[in-house]
Amino acid sequence: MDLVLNAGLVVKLVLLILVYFSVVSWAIIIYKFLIVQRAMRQSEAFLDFFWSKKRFDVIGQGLKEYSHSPLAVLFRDVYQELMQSRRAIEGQEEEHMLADLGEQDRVARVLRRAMTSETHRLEKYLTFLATTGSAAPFIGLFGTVWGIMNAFHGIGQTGSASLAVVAPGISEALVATALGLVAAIPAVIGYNHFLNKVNVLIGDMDNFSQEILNIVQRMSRSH
Amino acid sequence: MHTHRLQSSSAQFHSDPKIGRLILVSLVLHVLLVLVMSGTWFGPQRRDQAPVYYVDLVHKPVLDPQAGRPDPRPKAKPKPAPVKSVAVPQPPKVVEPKKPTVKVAKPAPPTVVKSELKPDPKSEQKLQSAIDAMRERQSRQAEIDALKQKLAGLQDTRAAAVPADVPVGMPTGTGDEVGVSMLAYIQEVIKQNWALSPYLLDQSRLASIEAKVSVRYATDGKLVGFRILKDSGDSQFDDSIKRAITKSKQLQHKLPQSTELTVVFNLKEMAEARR
Repeated sequence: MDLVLNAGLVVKLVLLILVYFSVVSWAIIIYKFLIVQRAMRQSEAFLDFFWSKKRFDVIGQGLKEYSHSPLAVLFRDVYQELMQSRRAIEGQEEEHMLADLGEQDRVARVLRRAMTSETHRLEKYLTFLATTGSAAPFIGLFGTVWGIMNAFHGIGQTGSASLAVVAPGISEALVATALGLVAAIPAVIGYNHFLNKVNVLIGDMDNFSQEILNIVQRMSRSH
Repeated sequence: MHTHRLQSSSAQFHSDPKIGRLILVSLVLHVLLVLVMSGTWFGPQRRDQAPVYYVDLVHKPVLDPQAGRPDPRPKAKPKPAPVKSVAVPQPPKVVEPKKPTVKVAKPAPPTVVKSELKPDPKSEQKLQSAIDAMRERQSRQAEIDALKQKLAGLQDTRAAAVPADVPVGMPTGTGDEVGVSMLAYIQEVIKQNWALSPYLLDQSRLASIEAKVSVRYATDGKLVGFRILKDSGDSQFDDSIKRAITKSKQLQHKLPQSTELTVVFNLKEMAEARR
């Protein structure tokens, strides 16, 4: 604690920035953990639910249980789009979703938009983790270099190069690098971990989109 | 518009956790981590700090052991005293040999009277030989006294060369040098003028208070100024340091150059030195 309090103004500023990076990084790591875990768990459950039911309207009524799944969001948007087109065409049967050829394109667009939106949501704040992982060690290194510069300046002024004069300055300076690494290491690990999970989810969304498009196409052909 | 509506409905659908709240949680976690690391939660773990000793391994030993002492070596005062004290016993010794001559003179008349009464050549001869023997003894005694006086004189000169009660320095030392380590000399002067209250000395068991002061002296040994680089946080302690420096405003020796040095005042170290 004394090391931090005795440090110079620039080193203190560097330490403050690094503490900010560390606090926000950990907040994002917790945030991502909650989001990604829930998304993966509910996506798996939603797929089971989706394939167990044959009718879109039944699936649409049970969506609230899977509110954190990106696949559920895709299905909800598609379902809303189909409902709107159904309302537009009068005299259609309620139990069968009928689709024309133009409707397939609209569904594809809706799916693409929903996927983009969900990908953005899942990748939100990950860039901050990447920035922390790459920049924090350098910011810490800057604090260390500055602190050592001051320490050597002090040695020059006192004219004594004893360990008692040199050691405190260097020790204070090295705190900045240590804190930089403390902030960067979890950020890098978190970034790689969550990026991998998000990529898996994006792959799932892609596959699910293709499945929905196929279903819509089959529906239009049967019509 | 349609996109905005969808996004807002999507946000309602998800109900993601608030990042602001999580930042607060993260901040609390960081504070807890700092508390755990600093040992605040595990009770006071005060380590007894050992006093710091500064040993100068670079400078050569001082030429004269007197060097570094703020008071100059006592010089001329003791010199005349031993010379006088040795010279005093001389007169009585010189007078003493005169007394027997008087004593000899006194018994002489009766012998003369007797000889007048009874002129005896043998007795005259005996008397003459006795007088001769006495004179010979007197001359020897005078010689011995002269030699003793000479010996005393020689001892006085040797005693005057090395005054008593003063540590003897190196053969080449002159006795009034400042010493090789001028900084050590100035530090010693200031620290000798540093008076600590008994209360503060008791406090030294609890905590090691330390202050760092930069002091500047001119070539004539006069204090130019001082600056507290790091105060101790204890006003009494700081005041005692200021008093010590003000007391040392004039050194008794001139310095080869204007000097600025940093003096570390450590309460624990001083307290142990005083015990």
